[in-house]
Amino acid sequence: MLTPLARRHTRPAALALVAVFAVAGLLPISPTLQFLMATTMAWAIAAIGLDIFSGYLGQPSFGHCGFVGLGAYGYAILAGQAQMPPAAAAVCSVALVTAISAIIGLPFIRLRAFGLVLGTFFLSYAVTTVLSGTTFASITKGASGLQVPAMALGSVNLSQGTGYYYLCASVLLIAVVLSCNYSDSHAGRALRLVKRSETVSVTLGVSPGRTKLAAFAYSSALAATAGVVLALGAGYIAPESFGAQQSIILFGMAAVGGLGSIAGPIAGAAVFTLTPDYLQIAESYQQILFAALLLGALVLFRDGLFGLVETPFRALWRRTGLRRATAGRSGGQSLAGRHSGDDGAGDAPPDPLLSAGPDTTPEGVMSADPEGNRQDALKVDDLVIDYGGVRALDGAGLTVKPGHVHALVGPNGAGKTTLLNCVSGLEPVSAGHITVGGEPVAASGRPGSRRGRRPGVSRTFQNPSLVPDLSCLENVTLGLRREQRTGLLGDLLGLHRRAERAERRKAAQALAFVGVPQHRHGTPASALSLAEAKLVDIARAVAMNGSVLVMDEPTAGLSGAEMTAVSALIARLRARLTVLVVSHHVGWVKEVAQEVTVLAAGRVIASGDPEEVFDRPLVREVFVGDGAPSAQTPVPGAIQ
Amino acid sequence: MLDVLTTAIATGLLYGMLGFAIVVLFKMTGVPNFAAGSLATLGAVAVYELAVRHHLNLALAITLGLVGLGVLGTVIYTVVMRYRDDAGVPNLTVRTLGLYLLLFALTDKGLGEGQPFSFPRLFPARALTLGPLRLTVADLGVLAIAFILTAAFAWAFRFTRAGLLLRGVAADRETARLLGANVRRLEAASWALTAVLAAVVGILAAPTTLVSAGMMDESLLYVFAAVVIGGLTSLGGAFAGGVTVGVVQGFVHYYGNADLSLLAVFGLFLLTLLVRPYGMFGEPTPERL
Repeated sequence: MLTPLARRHTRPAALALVAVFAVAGLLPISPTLQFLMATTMAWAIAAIGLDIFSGYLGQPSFGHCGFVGLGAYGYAILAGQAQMPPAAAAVCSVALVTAISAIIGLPFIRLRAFGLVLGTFFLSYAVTTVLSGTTFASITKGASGLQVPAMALGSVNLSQGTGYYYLCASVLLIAVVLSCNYSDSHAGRALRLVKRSETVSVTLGVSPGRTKLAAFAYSSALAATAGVVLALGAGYIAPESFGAQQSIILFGMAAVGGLGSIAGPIAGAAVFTLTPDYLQIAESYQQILFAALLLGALVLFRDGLFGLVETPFRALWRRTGLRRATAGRSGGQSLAGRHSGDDGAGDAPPDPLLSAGPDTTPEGVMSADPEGNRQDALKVDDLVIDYGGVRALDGAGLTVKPGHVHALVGPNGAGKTTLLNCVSGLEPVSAGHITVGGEPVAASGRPGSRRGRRPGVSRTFQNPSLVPDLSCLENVTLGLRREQRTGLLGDLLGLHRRAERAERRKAAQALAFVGVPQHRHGTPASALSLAEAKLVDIARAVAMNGSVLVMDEPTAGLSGAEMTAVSALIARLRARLTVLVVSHHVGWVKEVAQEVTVLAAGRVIASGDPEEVFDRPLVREVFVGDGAPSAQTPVPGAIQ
Repeated sequence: MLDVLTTAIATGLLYGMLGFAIVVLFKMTGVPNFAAGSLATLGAVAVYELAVRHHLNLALAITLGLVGLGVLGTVIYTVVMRYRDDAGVPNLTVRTLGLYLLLFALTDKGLGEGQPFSFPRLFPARALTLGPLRLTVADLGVLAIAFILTAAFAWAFRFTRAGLLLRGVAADRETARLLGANVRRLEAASWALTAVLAAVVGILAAPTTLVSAGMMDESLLYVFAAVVIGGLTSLGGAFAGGVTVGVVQGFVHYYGNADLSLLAVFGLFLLTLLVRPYGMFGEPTPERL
């Protein structure tokens, strides 16, 4: 991960920086400085786009200058050789590059971090090679470069002077507004979710592939826009201005400014564009300075300029008590430091948990009614899963009655988590059937047996897989989106504010239901204790509004009091939905479960009433390990 | 036709050797070294400076150059990579990219005007003819050096204590540390190793590529493609991938042009990663949830 923390609500800081530029344009500054500041704004557009991809999605890219180059060439060719009107040429060029990037992105988004660094690095070389090569020399004029036609609005020349300056400022303003909308909307939360874990995003119905592709195309679109604007100002473009080294410098702008902050990259662009001129240094030293700046940021200030400014700012914010005004709405990061210290692990959550009565059930969130449904809530038959040579599940099956808490127990490697993964849609089913509420959701050979969010199934994880750079409340809203698939475009334009407010209300209800007190709703998930994180994870699953809740080790790592609290919560959940829970703790299972299935080496060896099942010799043998495993239950290496 | 093949294989072996340097470091630290090409360049530049500009004996210049690069590798590790090395692999990877920029800018400044410069010949300009096969002494020399180096490393990794420690750290850094291996010293050593290996490649390549700050830029891409195709963690695979890339590049260049050969290798690289996202011999690391 390039940065663990992608910030929320950075709009004021980013807009303030744009305002500084806008005001500076009114001052009597020299034409040279004015041009440099305009160039800064143009680079900032590309750097902000890269921030969405690298800071918020956590994917490195060293090829975005290739898209800057393509945007610039696209404009020069369309407005020049193709003689399109300049404005149309600019729009077409950006649209074309975005489309190209979406196609190039298809293989790229499948690459792991290292493959992506390398692939994008390769890409920037490939772009300069194509632009300067002989193959397309009739259009690109090879290494000699192209003249760029000017653009005008009425009598104002937008390619130089003040006209150009305010063109850059307006485009930057649009980029800032769109990017802030992106990062603070559902689409932006999805970015951070995919960064946290692609597996979890699948269970929450967020497609990692689509999320990555959208971010890649968005960042490329901003890069291409920057390319058009830069070309306008330069008046002449050549391939070597968009090479791999410039791509690294573009990444440097985002990293030096601070990844995951929108405002940071603007400052970063200023550092890289204005410093060489301010220091009056020779061209040959400029590259050395840039490399040193990038290395300095990576080694010494990983949060970049934004982080440097943010820390004292937040301290001031906390001291003046302004925090209280916002705590109710969304909360600041400042809550983290204050509360994680004095809430010891566990003494805060159980209290409200035990006191909250069943009447606090959030009706808007949970509408399932298992009692009215006579079908089995969940039925799994003859599931077979092979991992290479290992058979993780060997014909396992179980039936969960509506409104029951069904426990799944067994030694390590018995296949418990694999079964949960099949039920929650993380593992494609190759043989066997799964039905939820009588509806077949997965069978071998059916399209539904592919990976994807299972309708009717919610899931919690053993290690609470919350998104660290989102608040508790925002984490829970990630569980909410189910049917309402709103497009990225709506999120970019900020059209979903009302839906967002409704979501926050529902999420707050779900949090209240599991017993997370109101003042903790705005706390970033990274600042939670394990017990709290588990509760938030359960709240997120409750918000998913499935009829079946699948829980993996909800009590692992918790103290006795916290375990009791989780039991009480599960008892209350039972009134609304059916629970399948994996646990290692036999005593706790006896307390919460009505039924238990014992799994060993991928097979079911016992099923029924917990008290009775745990007394069976076969089960005792598997758990306690007295004597060698019998011939019927080969459990190689499974007994601890 | 056969000429193209032998030259392509010799080039491929150079890629393989630089790939080997990258893989050694990748196994040790998990960081793909984007500065490897710059280190190779620096090796060639150092020898050029000593032998041509300061008229030193060529063998002495090469020895000094290799030692110098070894020291530089350690210095780079200590100054750039070691501080806050818990920042995560992406951060460390980008640091090597920063190093690439820095070393490029420094060599460019150091070499000054008039690049590229010609480099003294390392092998006699003769060729052996074996029936239809025509082998230049330079290609044979590259072959011999590649073979000797690989054999030496394979032996050292398997049969020496240092090799055992390096393999231990490569297999499991934390466990090796708990068992008493001085992980940071070993990492410094592998940086030195990488730098020396890279310098060997730079010196061998210099007579044909000529000496300039960007002499290895394009090769670096081919090397990384080779490393990925051969499997990121496989030392032998680096050579196999290197020869594959060398041959593909050589033939596309011969029948098409230089632009196409870069695109062809790029395509091969993407295809490999799509079929095997973790490289040909790599294994996916499972996620704990």
